[in-house]
Amino acid sequence: MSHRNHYLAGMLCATAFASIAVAGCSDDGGPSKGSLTVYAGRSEELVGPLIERFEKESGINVEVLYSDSASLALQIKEEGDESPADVFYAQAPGPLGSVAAVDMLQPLDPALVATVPSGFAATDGMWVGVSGRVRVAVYDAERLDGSSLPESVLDLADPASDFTVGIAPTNASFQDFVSAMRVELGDDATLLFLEGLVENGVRTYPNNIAVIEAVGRGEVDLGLVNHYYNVELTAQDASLTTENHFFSSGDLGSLVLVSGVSLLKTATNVAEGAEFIKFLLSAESQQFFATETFEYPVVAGVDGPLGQPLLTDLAPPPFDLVELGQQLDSTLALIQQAGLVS
Amino acid sequence: MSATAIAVTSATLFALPFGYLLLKLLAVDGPWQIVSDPDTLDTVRGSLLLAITVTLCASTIGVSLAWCVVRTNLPGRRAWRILVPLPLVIPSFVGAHAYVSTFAPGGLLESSFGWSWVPEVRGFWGAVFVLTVLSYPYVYLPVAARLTSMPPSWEESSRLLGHRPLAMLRTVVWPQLATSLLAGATLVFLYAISDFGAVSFVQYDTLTRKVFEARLDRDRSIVFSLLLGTIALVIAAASLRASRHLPNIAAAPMRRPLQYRLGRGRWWALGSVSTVMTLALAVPVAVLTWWVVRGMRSGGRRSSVVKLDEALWSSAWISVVAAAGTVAIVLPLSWLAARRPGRSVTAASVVMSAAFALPGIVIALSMVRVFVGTPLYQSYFVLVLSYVLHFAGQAIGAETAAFASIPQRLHEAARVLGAGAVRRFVTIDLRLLVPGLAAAGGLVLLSVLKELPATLMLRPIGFNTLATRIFGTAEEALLLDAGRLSLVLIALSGVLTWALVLRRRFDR
Repeated sequence: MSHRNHYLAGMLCATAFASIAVAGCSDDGGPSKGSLTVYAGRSEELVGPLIERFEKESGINVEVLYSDSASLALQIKEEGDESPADVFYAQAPGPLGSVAAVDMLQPLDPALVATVPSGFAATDGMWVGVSGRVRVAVYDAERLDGSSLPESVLDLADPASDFTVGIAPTNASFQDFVSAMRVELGDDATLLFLEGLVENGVRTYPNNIAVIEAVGRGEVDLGLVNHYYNVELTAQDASLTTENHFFSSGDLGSLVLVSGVSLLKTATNVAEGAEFIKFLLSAESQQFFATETFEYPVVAGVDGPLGQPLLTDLAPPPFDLVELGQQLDSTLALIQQAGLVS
Repeated sequence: MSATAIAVTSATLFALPFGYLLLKLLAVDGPWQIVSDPDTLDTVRGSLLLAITVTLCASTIGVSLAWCVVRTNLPGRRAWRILVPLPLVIPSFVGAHAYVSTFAPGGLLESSFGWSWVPEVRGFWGAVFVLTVLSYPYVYLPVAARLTSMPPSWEESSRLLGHRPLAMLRTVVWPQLATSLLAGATLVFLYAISDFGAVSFVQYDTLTRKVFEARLDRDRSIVFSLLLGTIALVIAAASLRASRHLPNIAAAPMRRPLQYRLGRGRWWALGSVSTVMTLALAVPVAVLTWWVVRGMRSGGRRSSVVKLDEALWSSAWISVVAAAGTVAIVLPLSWLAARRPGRSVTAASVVMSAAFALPGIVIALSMVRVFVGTPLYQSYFVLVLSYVLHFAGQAIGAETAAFASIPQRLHEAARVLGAGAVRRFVTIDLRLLVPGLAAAGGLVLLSVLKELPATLMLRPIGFNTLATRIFGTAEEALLLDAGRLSLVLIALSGVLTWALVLRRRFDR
C-alpha cells in the first residue's frame, strides 16, 4: 500500500508541474498572413462545416471561438483593444448592437451591405445579416387544426382567446420580438400585449426546445419560438407531432430575425475578414443555410428551406435593426414589468 | 515563507474575481437603487430560502447514505460506493431538463405508464428537488470518508460502557462527523445559490439566474454578482467560525471501521438507497438513453463536428490537471489552517471558499481582464487557473481536515528519532494525507468536468470538452448527441473517481 501512496503523490506533483509546463507551450505565435480569428455565437454544429468550406476555398486559416452570443459580446468588450478577434458573428442583432454601442466595430464595405435587403443589415453599416429565422407558433397537429389558428400574434393576448401560450422570455429571439413590437406599436401597447398573455395563462420556459416539448406534452396549445427548432426536434423524435404555424405575412408574429456578422475595429486581418463576410453572403453559403441549418437565405435568388414558406412571402421588419439592438435594456424591463420574469 | 505571507499571497490570488467586481462597481450608476429595489430583495430572499432548504435536504440524504454505505451490511455496498457520488457530475441543465420532461403532465411517466399523479418539477420545490439530488454528494463524500477513518475503538468503548445505540450516535459518532458535515453542507449551500441550469429550467428566480439573464445589462448583473459574493463570504465565514467550536477529529487509518449488522432492516435500507439513486441517477440516465434511442430510431441528425474521443480525452486530462493543481495550490493554506490558524489564514480561507459561489462567467471575465494581451491569454494555463480560482473552495475543507487528523505524536516520535522536516513530511504527512487530498481532488475533478462558462470563454481556440459539446448540441436540439455525450460524461466521472479517489478504499 505504501508504494501506491508514493505513486499517487508522485502523480499529483507531476500533474501539477505538467499544468505549468503545458502553459508555456500554448497557442502558436498569433495570426500570420492568411489567417482569421472569428468569435462565433452560433454553434459549431451548424456553421462549422461552412467555415471549413471557406478555409478550403480561400486558403485562409480560420480560428473560431464558439460560445454563446451574449457571453461573446461581454468578452469582446472586456478584451477591448487587445481583442484577438477579427470577426464577431452573432446569433442575433442584440449582441452585435451592444458591441457597436461601445464603438468597437468598423463600418463594412457598403457594396457588401447592399447585397441584402435594407431591413436585414444595420443602417449604419456596422454589421450585415447573413441568415434569417422566422418567429412562428408551434402547435400539436394531433390536438389542434392548423387552419383554426389566429392570423396575428396579437390575437393571443385577446381576452377572448382560448389558446394557452408557452414562451421563453429570457431567450434573445423572444426579446428581439418584444423589442420589435415596441418599435412598431409603442411601449404601452406592448405592455398590454404581454399582460394579456399573462392573463391568458402564459407559461414560461428556459428555451425554445423546452417550449416545443411542452407543446408536445399538451401543457400549452401554442409555443412562440423560432421556426427551425421544430424541424430539428421532430427529426430527433418521430413521435412528436408538432408543426409550425406561420402568422400572416407582415404580422409581428412572423418577424424575421437575422444572425449577423461584423468586423472589429481592432481587427488585424481586415482583408481576410471582408472575404469571409463576402463568402457568407455568396449563393453557395446562402444555399448551405437553407439546406443544412433550415434557415432563410437573406440574398435574393436563393431558395428557402424545404417545406417552409419562401422569405419573399415574409416581409423584412419595417424598422431599424440598429434601434432594435439598442432597445435591449428597456425591453428586459418591460418583460419584467409584465410579470413574465419575476 | 511565513504564515502571513502564504495567507496574503493566497488571499490576493483568490480575491481577483471579487476585486474585478468591485472595479466594475465603480462604473455602475446608482448601485444602491438596484440593491434596495424590492424586486432585488425578493430575489435575495428567494435565493437564500432555496439554498437553505437544499442544504437541509442534501445533508439529511448525504449523511444517511454515507452511514448505510460505509457502516452497515447494506447489500451491494461496493457498487453503491461508485454510484452514490455520481449525480454530482450531471450538469444541472441536463439533469433539470431530464426531470422536467419525466415528471411534467404529459411527460415520460404519464405517457409511458399513465401516471398522471406524479408531481411536476417546477418552481421552488422543483428547484429544491433537482438541486438536492444533484448536490448531496458534497455531504456524502466527506461524511463517508470520515466514517471510514474514525477510530473504531471509541465506538467499541462506548458499547462496552453499555451505551444504547442512539446515545452512542449522539455522544461518540455525531461529534466526529460534525466537521465533515459542516464542510459538505457549506458546499451544498454555495452550489445551490450559484446554480443557473436547474433554476432556469424549473423557472425559479434566484440571483444567479438574474446575473446570467441580465448578462447584457451590465449594471444589474454586476450588482447581483456582488450580492451573491457577499452572501457567499458571510456563509463561508460563519461556517469557518462554527467549525472552531467543533471537537477535534482524529484518524486511525490503520483499522477497518466498525460495521453494524442491520438484520431485516437492511432491506429497508436497500429500499431507501435504491429510491434515492433511482431519482438521482437512474432517471437522468434513463432519459438520456431515451434521447439516444429515440433519435436513432427517428433517424435524427447527428452532429458532424463532434469528435467523441477528442472531447473525452480533453475532459479527462484537463479535469485531472485542474484537480491536481487545485489540491497543490490549496496545500500550504490548508496546512496553516490546521496547524497555525490566525486571522490572515482565516480570511484567506473564507475568500477561497466564497469564490465557489461566484458565477463562472464572473471568474472568466476577471481572467480576461488580467490576461488579455499577454501570450497566456486563451492558453491552458489561464483555463486551469480559472478552475483553480473557482473550485479551490471545494478542496480547502477536505485538505484542512486531512492535516488536522494527522496525530502530532507521530511527528514528535519521528523528530526524536532524528528525522528531518522533509523526511517527516514525506513519510508521515503525505502518507496520511493522501486519502484526504484524493477526496478534495475528486470534488474539484467532478466540478471541472461539467464546468461551462469559463471553459467557453478561456479555452484555447479549438479545445472542446464533453461539457462544451453537450452545450453546443443541446442548444441546437441535437438531443441524440447531447444524450450520448452526457452518458459518456457520467461514465468518465465514474471511471476517474474510482481510479483516483475510491479505489484505494477497496484495498482494505
